[in-house]
Amino acid sequence: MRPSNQGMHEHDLDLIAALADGSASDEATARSLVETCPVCHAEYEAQRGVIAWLADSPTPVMTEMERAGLHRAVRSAIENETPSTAPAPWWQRLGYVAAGLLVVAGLAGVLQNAGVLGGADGVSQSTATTGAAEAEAAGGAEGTEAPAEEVPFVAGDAAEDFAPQGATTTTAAASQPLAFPFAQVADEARASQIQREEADTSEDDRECLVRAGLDHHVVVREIDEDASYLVAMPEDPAEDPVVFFVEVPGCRIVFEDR
Amino acid sequence: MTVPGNEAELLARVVTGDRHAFELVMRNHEDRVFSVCLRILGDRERALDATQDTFLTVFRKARQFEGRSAVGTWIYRIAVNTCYDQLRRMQRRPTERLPEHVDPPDPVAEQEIESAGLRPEIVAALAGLSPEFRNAVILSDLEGLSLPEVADVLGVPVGTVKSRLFRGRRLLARRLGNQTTS
Repeated sequence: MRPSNQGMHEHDLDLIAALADGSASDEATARSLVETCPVCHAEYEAQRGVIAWLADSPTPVMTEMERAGLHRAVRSAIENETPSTAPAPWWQRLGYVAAGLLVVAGLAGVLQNAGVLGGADGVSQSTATTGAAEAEAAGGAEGTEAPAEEVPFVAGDAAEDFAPQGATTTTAAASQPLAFPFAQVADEARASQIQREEADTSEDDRECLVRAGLDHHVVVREIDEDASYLVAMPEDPAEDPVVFFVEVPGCRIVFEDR
Repeated sequence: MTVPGNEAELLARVVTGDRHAFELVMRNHEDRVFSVCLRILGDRERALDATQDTFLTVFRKARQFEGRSAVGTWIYRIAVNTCYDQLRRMQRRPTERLPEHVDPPDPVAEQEIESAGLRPEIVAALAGLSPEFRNAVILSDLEGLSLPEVADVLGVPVGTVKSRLFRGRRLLARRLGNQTTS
């Protein structure tokens, strides 16, 4: 549980947000929180206000002319194309291999039972079972929903660029390749005994942090190498020393180390 | 609306080169893809380009759909990433736009576009958010996707989506002037 602004905690924020958008699984607890905590109540009202304001927005639609143009352009572009004939992805190929092994093992079992092949009873059956398990493991992802942390392969360079990386306690935002030693720099920032309340954050940097959603954070270090980052930590020394890397000039969090 | 199971079958037919199946998939999702792209990019021409690129990618990479998520979620993910690419290209290489109306404007079409467009104050408010927050807010609060769907589209855990939604709405609230706490 991470202390946050004005006595609220991270899980409180989630509860408030969930209550505001109607996704709270424990609505009674969320309501109780909002009714007993003035700051939480104000946050809740603000969240609800924004949701209502957005909900009032009409859904943009294509005009018929735009739709016809889109269809024409797509049809024309794929006219002489066939969908990618590139080799199937590795998990499918692995599935094929496993299925092949299964067939071979099964056939061996049948031959053995028929006395064509030698060997102790049970060995072939065991092999066949293992083959089936491998086939299921290799191909089992088909038709199941991916856990949120897993990233199904998505076509295109963009999709690959934005694949999430990192461990459970470390969130790498998507576009950032992990060549930069974020975790190491984060450890250094924590270990450098920087007094966060004395950090001198310029107005520009503070504005950038706010754009990244990091109000009440300070810049403890600036990195200017191949890419430029602000290294930010909560200004309140009582808070957990979470280290954020904010890309500049985009002002987006590219890495978060807890 | 096609049910998800049938959509996966349609996509399998696309892999075999079935143009009709592809058009069905496209018709099922083109409105929402356009809506997402327009809300992310804030510009109709660019949104139409991104919609076109999205469906070309769907056609070309249909074989790589592995069925772990709904076809729609897979397509919206391609759309969001296509928009990210466009935004990055725009940042790297700002281009001079051609005048909006080279041809004499068609008043009926103009009116149609205006009524089908985005409210400028929403465009301005969303433009002030970083892409992470903006996309979470767009997919959840404007497009009505569930939290797991948003997580799947953005490729992040549900907890991260919750956090981005909270922070994104908070920033919007501040911009709208109805923020009561800091």
